[in-house]
Amino acid sequence: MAKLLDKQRYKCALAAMQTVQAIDRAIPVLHSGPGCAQKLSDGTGSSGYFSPNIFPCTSINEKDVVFGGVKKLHSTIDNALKVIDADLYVVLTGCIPEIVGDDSGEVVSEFADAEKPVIYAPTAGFKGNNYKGHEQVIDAITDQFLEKAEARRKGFVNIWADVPYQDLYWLGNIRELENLLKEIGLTPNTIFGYGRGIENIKNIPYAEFNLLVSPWVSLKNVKKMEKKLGIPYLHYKTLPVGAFETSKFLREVGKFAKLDESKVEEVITQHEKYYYYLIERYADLFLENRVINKQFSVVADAQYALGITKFLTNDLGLVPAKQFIVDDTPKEYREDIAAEFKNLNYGLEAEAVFETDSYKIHEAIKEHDYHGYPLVLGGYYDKEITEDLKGNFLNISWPVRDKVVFDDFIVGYTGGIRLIEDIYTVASQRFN
Amino acid sequence: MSYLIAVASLDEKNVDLSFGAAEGFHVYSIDGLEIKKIGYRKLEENKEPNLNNSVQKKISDSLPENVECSERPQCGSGKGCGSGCHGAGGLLPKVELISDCRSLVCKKIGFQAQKQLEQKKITSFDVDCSVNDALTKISAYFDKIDRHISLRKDGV
Repeated sequence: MAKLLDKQRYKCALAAMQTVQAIDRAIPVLHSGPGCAQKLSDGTGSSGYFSPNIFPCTSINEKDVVFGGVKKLHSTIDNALKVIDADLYVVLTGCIPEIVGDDSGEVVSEFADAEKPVIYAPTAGFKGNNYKGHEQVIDAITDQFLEKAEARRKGFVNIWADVPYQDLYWLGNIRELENLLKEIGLTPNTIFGYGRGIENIKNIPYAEFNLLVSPWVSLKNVKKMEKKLGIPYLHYKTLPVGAFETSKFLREVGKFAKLDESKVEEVITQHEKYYYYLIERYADLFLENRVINKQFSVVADAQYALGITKFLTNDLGLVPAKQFIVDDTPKEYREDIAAEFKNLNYGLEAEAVFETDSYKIHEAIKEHDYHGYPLVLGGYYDKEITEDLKGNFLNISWPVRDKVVFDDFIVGYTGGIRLIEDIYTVASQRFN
Repeated sequence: MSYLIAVASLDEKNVDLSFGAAEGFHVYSIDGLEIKKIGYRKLEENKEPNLNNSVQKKISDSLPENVECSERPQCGSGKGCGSGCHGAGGLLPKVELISDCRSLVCKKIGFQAQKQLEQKKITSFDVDCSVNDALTKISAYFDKIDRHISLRKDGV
């Protein structure tokens, strides 16, 4: 029987063009049908020096399906190199060329001697969603661009976390993670966003270790880098939001990097003092029973679902209802991730549901007894159902239409405070 | 079900003529993956350009008087009078000539001609390869489409 998928929360793997776009002066060269880039680009925050409307594209049609599109791909790359001033050209293939069997890798290899690096990532939609596409791009960089370094720099750490553009806070989050690492005495290296780019990519092999802050996305990448470049990795599964998780995170990173414990503790104490000063000041608001909801659900990718569930439970003392993970997490990671949801303070446990169908998610939200109005942190698709249930809704995951985020973040001590501000702003509005 | 493919070629070996330059087309009958030549259709001279045709007349009327295009039969070739060739009028006899075909293969084709063929549900392919290669690839493509099977190379 045919299956229907209602309002899924991800895009096809070709949307990894956004991962490329997030690398300053890197341009995706699309081997796909016309219109793919337009449909896959997000409404806001994706204009600039390169934007989806100008991504070079082979715009393949029926003729290329019948006769193959490799000649067109060759000329598109050739001309992109001539007319677009970029530092890195990443050829991404859509469904059609991969179905009909165009050997795009072969075409790209003909540009091995080009002045600028041209690499290739297979991102056909049928191979997976944009989370996997993101991994394909990083893998392509590792496989085709990076070489093992002779020596590595002490304290130099590559950070891998959010999927650019898919996560609305990607830029702010990665910068805040950098700041936290700097404070405990490490030198962070990231490749996404303003002021980062090809030089940071070239620096990847010199890192002492890779820090992956994500339940599953990019685990493949850091494992590949370990194998090819000899860089060990620390896999920290929970996005640290708020004091409890961030302190835990800094201690673990400090231990892995063999940093002076007292220095790490000093940083933690300083941050916690200010964090709890703010929490104390607003204790009256937190203790006002009627303001905030008793139970909450997060509808987001594994990264946000886990990070925010831990934050709301461990820091804010809320009780988790069902948590919905919507990124089509590969089956091999699910058990581990679900176990993390059982590992909460106060002996609390949350049930993680891996579900990509919004209809089923909304039915589950309707059925659950939230002991009052629900608090739902999710995508814009969840706004209507939350409003029907007279609950409080905050748009924290894709699709995002209720919020504009430039470089705000939810990571770390400050990020936790920002998220509390947002949640309580929504909650207090009910009483205006 | 079999169908016809028209090919613009001088030597019958390579697809070496543009739609505009072709004075006729080799017509092949395709049944599944089986290719059979059934003949050559030549454009009758008095049919090009057909000034009695109302569309042609209307388009010609709209042209400035001093526009003379000695190469009207080249319409769609991208040479001479260009791919547009002052409208669709000059194309019609040629399109009519192959109106029972499912597809046309030629070296080059202009936008107007492509649209005229599209209206008659004729898929045009402008390619630079041998006739045999073109017919094999196109018949394999249509065969898969007709039998609703995947276009994957391995045919799964």
